[in-house]
Amino acid sequence: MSTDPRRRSPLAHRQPIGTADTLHLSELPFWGLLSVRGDPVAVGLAVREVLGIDLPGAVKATAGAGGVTALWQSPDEWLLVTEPGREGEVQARLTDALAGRHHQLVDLSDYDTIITVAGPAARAALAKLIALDLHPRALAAGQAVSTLLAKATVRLWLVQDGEAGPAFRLIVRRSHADYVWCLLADAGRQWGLPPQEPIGRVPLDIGA
Amino acid sequence: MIPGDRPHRLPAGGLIDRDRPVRFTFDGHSLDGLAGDTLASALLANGIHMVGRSFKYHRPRGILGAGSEDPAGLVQIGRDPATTLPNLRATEVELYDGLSAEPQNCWPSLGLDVGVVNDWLSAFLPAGFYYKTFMETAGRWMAVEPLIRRAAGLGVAPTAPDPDRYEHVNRHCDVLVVGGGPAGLIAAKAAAGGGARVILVEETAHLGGRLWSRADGAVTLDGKTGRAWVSALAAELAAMPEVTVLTRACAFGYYARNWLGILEAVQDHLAPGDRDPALPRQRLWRVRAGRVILATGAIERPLVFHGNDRPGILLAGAVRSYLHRYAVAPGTRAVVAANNSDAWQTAFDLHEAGVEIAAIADTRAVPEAALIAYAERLGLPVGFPATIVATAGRSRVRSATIARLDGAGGLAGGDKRVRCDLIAVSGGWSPNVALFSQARGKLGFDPALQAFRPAESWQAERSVGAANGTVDLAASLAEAVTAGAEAARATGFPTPPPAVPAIEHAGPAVPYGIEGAWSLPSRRPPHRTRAFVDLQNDVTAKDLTLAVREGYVSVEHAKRYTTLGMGTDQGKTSGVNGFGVLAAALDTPVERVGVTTYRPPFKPVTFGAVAGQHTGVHFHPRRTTPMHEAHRDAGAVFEVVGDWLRAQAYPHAGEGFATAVQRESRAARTAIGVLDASTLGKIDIRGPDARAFLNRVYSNAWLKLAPGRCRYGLMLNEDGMVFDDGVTACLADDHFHMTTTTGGAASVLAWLEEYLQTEWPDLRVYLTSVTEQWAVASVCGPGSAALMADLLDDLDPDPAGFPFMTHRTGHIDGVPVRVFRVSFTGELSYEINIPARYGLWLWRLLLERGAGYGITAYGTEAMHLLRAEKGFIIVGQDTDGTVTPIDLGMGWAVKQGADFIGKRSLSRSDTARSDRRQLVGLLTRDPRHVLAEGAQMIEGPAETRPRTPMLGHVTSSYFSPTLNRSIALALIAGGHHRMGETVYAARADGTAIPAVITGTDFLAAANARGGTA
Repeated sequence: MSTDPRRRSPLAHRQPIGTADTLHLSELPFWGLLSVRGDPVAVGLAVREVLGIDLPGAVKATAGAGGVTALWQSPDEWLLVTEPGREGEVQARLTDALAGRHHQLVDLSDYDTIITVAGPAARAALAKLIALDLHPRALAAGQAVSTLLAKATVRLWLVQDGEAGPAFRLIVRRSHADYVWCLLADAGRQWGLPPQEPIGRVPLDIGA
Repeated sequence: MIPGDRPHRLPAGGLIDRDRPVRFTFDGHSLDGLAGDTLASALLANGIHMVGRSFKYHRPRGILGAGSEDPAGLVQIGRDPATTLPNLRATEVELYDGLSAEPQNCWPSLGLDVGVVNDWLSAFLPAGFYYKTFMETAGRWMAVEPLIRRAAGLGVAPTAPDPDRYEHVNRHCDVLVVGGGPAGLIAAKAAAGGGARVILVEETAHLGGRLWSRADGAVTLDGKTGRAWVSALAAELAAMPEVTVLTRACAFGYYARNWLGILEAVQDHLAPGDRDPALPRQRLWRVRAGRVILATGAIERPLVFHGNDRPGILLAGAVRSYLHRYAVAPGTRAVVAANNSDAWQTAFDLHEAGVEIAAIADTRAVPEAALIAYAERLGLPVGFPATIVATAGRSRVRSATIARLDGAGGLAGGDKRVRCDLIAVSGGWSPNVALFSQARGKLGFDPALQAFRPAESWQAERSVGAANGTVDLAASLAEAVTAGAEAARATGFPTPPPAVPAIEHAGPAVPYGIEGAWSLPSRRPPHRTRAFVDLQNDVTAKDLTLAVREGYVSVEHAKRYTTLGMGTDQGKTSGVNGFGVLAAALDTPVERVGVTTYRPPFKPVTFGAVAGQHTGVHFHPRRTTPMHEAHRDAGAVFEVVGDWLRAQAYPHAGEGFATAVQRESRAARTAIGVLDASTLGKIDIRGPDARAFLNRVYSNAWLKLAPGRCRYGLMLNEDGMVFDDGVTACLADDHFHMTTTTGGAASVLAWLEEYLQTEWPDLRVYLTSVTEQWAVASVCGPGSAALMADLLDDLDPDPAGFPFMTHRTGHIDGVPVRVFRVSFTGELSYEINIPARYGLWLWRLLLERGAGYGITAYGTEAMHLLRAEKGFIIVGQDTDGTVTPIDLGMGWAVKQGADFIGKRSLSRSDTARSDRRQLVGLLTRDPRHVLAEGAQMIEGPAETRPRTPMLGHVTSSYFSPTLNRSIALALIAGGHHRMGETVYAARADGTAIPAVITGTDFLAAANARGGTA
């Protein structure tokens, strides 16, 4: 996909930090995010038909196929995560498949961005900011939760876990992305991450 | 105050490193210690006992304990105004090279303290003194309080910002074991064998607990010495992947559902120069545990006799800690006074260390024969039943007077004064039940222990070992193994329990044999007896009996009246003694008196740790819009709106804020202005009942809004008061795009979801926030259509075909946009919504392409001014939760017939009054004068006495560049019926400003007059 210089991702001003052998942070910009709300059976049929995915039906569950993953959000809400640029096509096909059925399908690809938090120290770093149990017994690869990271709402998705340590994806609101990034860098200080100054630090003095 | 005259360091033993001398200062003196020392052990090794003065009487205070229980050996560490640490227990401060400690509560010096007059005046400072003296006349207390606060008090708080880093850590585990003594260690092993996640926290730097307070060979476990056994077990735990062992970590709070707070002092023990900047100074662990095992040990109580508070008087168990853990003999000639057998071991160990024993005084009628025989064999003088009735020595105890007890609560004859520089006291051991009690566990009084111990658990926890009142080591370990195995089973990780080690004691094994002795008799009249219960707050037995005489018979009342246990030590050594003294005064069993409530924290926690990493730049999210970088580059001044940073104005170089606002406002009316409106809340509303839903949540009518059209709506709460407003666009019959105020976005969505889920579950409507999906640039002004025509690929912006309050989709340079013909300003406007990733590009494109049209970026201040010129309200500025649509003159937005939230409230008699405060315009008589926002409006030019009725207040006030005069909006009582009348804005200097009441649309009024006002 050609890069479009007109686009800016929420963390375009940040460079990846850290190393993969301890802790590594980077942004996955421009991924497709679609929110689907509706009756689980109706939406389930459409999603299976269009994407070949059996819609997850329980807390923490995800299911994916062909570069699209559905994250369970609530009994009538799912988040579809697609590779960059595919959201329009998926949205169009799902809209067709759901025609005539009460549902809501919203493109949120610009609403959030994704921060990857990977490496053997990723759990310990996230545990400084997230109160949920992140132990592999409580959150396994392929599971996702919605929770709070400090004062920001995030979706935390553990995409893989293994020898190289866990790889998390944090789906964060655009305007909270820098706050979250800087807190994660701070949490990673003990593993060598550099401190990051939030861009929101601007003088508020109106002057004379 | 002089450094010691001889070394008190023993030649061998201890957890100290004799090859690593450490230099430190105390009270200005440079002293030597060893790595592994605490400040207290190093001071004692230098022969220094007095470390400070007490809170109220400024009496010399020494070191009583050897750990967190110590009540009054408090010091100030460091002098730097940013990093100085007050009220640290010398017994817990680990020594490092260059450590500088100061005594507290002494002025001008430790040896010479002017506050000591409080001690001479003590007869006049009884319990409740401050209360009695100053609460009668509040005024007098107000005057005197600052003086009292300065004279009393503890250490000095830092005055500069804390440069240290702190952090929170959240952790979940199956089993949390609190206390790394022998019971805690083996409980952790028993719990972890099956793979359970186990966290073991130990308050000190070393695992092993009181095994370190015995001679190493005094006890063997499975044939190993105490130290060898601890090392082996620690290594075993360290090798288990699911076990976390934290040392220097104090579990300070036990909250609901097995949630505990743990303070880990990560780097406090290191010299500042040796600390790793990548690590925090302290960590606050927030642990949720399936099961908790409390192995928190026991805390020894002093004996309550006259003169029991001098430096040099230590707890008997603490003396053993100094002997064995730190290889320090805290004296040369000692008296041991106790009501139990355990303290005799202190006499034996002191003797073994070469300290002369002047006397062992036991309050019991008949101590165990084995102890007496052993003491006699060692040649130690023994007296029983006997007690100390007096001591002498100012900054260090010099002698003790021992008297025989008559067995009936009084004294027999034959007092004997013995020379000594150390008194080891023991009034028995109290199980450390602080966490158990915080967890809401019920305590019971155990007569055999003469102490309160856990009786009934409330949460999923067990107390084991000394914390459970189990005195014997073998029994403690057995109990701990059982509890560990049970916790493992309960959390789903069953495992065969490890064997309980076989215990062998070297010395005489005798029963604990305590006999209660809460308050000991004195030779002095009661009012001259100074038998201290609380050494930090200077509460004596006399104070407690006085409290009872004055009617404070409840233990909680007596505590507050006397301040017993209310110091930084939370009564660790004084609480149970205090309950005993109260029981004696009330002539009732101590179990009937009960205990005061144990509350977190178990010991002080720094504010830094509580705040964690959420300080400074990380304190709170500051949300930025996609265009933020452009605003920043343009030198914008920002304001915070609902966590968002919004550009308030864009002053040019050398241009003031006010001038910039005037320039921006003028441009928006005369050329083109562009506003970043991305922060407005946006909600996608979808479903066959969406229209009906809107009709219920907005006060105006929505059933007939056609696709392609927009409508302004007011949202009321149930009280009929305006709480949000915004424009909603109809995208399709079942699909709407709602906008809300910036600050109200989250609460409006939650409110709407709540109504859908709880009140109207029958409505088929889905809501999803799309606030951040769209970047929004609002272009307005007479030239805006031309610029839009220039920009849009495929959409004709001509207002003739694209009228006000409609919307269209189109493209700019191929990027899809939604354009809304809505206006903040009353000017011709186009609100461009573009996917947020293109927001910055769009903004820069608008400024670049608009340059030729005279485009000017305007901030929120100009936006407020522009909308005020038109009389458009700002929810939260012109409304404050007490304003109805009628009050705002927006009755046109209240539909008749159909129900909506708040409708019924509008017909309440109060809401329907015609003299409510109503929104009007104000034009000052002097057009140059801009009223202060918030100014109170009054009827006449001068305030009347005694109280001037307030008509209302100014909500918005600006100087309008378009009208070339000031304008203001105000809420005025009955204002809608007072057009043309003059009212006055009150001012602090008494000169009120006259202003005429007008309509709110200043611009329309001026246009109707054919020009400026």
